[in-house]
Amino acid sequence: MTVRVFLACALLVLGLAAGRAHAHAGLTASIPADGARLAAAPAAIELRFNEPVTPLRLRLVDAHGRTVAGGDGLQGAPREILVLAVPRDLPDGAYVVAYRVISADTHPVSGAVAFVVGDVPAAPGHGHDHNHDHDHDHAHGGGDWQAASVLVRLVRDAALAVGIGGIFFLTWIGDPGRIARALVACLPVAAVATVLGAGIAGARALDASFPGDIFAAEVWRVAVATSAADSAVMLVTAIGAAAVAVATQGRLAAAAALAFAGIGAALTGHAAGASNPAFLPAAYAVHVAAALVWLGAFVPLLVAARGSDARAAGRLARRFSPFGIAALAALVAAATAIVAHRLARGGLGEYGLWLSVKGGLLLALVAIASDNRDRVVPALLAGRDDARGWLARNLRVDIALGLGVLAVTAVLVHTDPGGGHDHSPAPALAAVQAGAEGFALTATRRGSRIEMTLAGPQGAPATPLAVECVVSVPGAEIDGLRRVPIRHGTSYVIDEPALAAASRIELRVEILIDAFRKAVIEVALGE
Amino acid sequence: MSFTVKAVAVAIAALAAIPAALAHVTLEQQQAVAGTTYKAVLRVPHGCAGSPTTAVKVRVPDGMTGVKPMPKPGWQLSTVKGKLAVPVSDGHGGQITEGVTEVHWTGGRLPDEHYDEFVLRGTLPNTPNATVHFPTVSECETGVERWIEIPAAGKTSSDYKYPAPSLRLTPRP
Repeated sequence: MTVRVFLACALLVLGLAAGRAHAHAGLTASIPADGARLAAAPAAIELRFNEPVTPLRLRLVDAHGRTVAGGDGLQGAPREILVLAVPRDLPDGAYVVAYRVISADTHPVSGAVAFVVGDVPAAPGHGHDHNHDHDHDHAHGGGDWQAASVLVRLVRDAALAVGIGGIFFLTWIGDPGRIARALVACLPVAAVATVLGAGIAGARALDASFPGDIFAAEVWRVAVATSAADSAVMLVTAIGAAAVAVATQGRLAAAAALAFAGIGAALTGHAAGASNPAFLPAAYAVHVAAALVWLGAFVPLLVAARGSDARAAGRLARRFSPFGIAALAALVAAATAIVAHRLARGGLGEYGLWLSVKGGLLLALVAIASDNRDRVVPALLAGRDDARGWLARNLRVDIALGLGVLAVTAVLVHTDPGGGHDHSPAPALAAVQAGAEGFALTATRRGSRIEMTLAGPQGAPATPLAVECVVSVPGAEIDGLRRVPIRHGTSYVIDEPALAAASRIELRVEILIDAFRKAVIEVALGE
Repeated sequence: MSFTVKAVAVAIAALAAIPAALAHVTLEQQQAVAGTTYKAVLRVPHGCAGSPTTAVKVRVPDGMTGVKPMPKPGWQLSTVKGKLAVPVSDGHGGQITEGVTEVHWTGGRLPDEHYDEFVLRGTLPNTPNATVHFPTVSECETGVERWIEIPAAGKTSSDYKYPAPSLRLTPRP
């Protein structure tokens, strides 16, 4: 009995000693820092607290409120530092780390940290806002790596199209005249470009200095960890299969090369970041394989056109025709599905612009293909020699358009499809709320920009000591994002890219009237 | 369940409630009779996110008169005088219209691991059943904590992150 009482008392004393006399836990630092603008996505997110906390929620949310990493119901021993791994190849855009933790005093604390990856342009009508620093990218060579990535991507895709697509033509349709050697020569070019592309992805992730760091071991270690490496492995396998196809005249190997290339392209980039795992990567794979078939036919057909036998060229073109039509149908179907999927998730902005350019080039290619089918090929089959000139001319235009398509694609894969570059101003959403101590607040929101005006008691201009806002996006479970608005004359402005696409924002405006008085006004902006 | 287990469970449950209060700046006596003299002991249990406290400033509630702060070794004491919200009779037929409205203890250093109390004394307003507040600002080496949130109607101090230390005035027995 005495022992039990003693135990209970001992525990009581221990419990009292353990009850820490801190205020509720607070975030002391975060990596990335709140409001940071990064050239490339971080490998992991770190949140440091002033005391050990138990995480309840730790999520990385994109500008559309979609959770891209982490979740709820996290358990684990209380600790001062929380770490969240960031998915590979995180697309550029604005993100929020939303957290909710329990501090040692059992009180839950929620908060949020926002940061931007890549170049998100300032909201329209900006003028003097100090929150943006576009020089950041160039200081770290981020823009240079992006340009290099686009170029290497273009070279890779062109080499894959001519090499793998051409070898498919060779084995399935026919040989226009000893081009096997030239096609095979494209394969090492494609392989080098693929590997280099993976290295550049690593350099971008590390924000390495351009261009020397491409040789750094660290860059390649990170590259191997990204999805760019998985994609590269698949593509190199495709290249190998294509080489086998040439050596053995094997149709199966050529088809396998196409399949591997499609899968490889779908393993990284926007397809990999999709939330619906089966659909989007499959559509990308089909789209890429079909494009390789179609684009790959240009060089062999051009060689045929420049040969001496018009009828042979015509036969070859006619043999390709069903493949071309099937490839075109598959390409357009997959592209439509991908674009519809993106549109269903919100506007496209700049991404949509480039898509339209690509679509226009595609239409031109289709027009030429139908000209070939209706006019040129029948003439070739009839034995007309000048038809060879027509075919050659058409194919040269085709090649130019094809390179254009690949160039636009290379730019597209580096553009945020989430509409983060939307230049059209979102409709202004206004709310008025009369607050404590006679202050009245008018808040207007346009996209990522929230503008507030304050009127003091009796409508006199308000001159508070300080104004601070706590922003919540209930739809995305983001709570406690603290922002100090910047004062422009009589208005207070917050510009937070991560809020641009939120449909409803709840704002808690804390107005420090004097050292000892605070008025709090809560408004909701949006539906 | 054995007695020990139950005792432990109760102890833990009871303890769970305490730390929340320990975390705020509060008055030692949170209830007093209206109209009487009262010794306000402000308890400062921590700094600002770990940073030591270097100044404590409090605004006395409207209607509190005859305010005298207690000096503290290591700290400089100063008061701010202003117009009283409610003039008070001085007992000789006149009116007192000015008095201490704020008390500042500055120039000290209270590390986060330590606890200290800041004391003042005065006569409470004669408004029984009201709750008065002592908004307090803690300034630290880095940062400031403002315990100045006054609960809105229908809410209590525990609903707020930085509630002002509060005192409930009770009627004379």
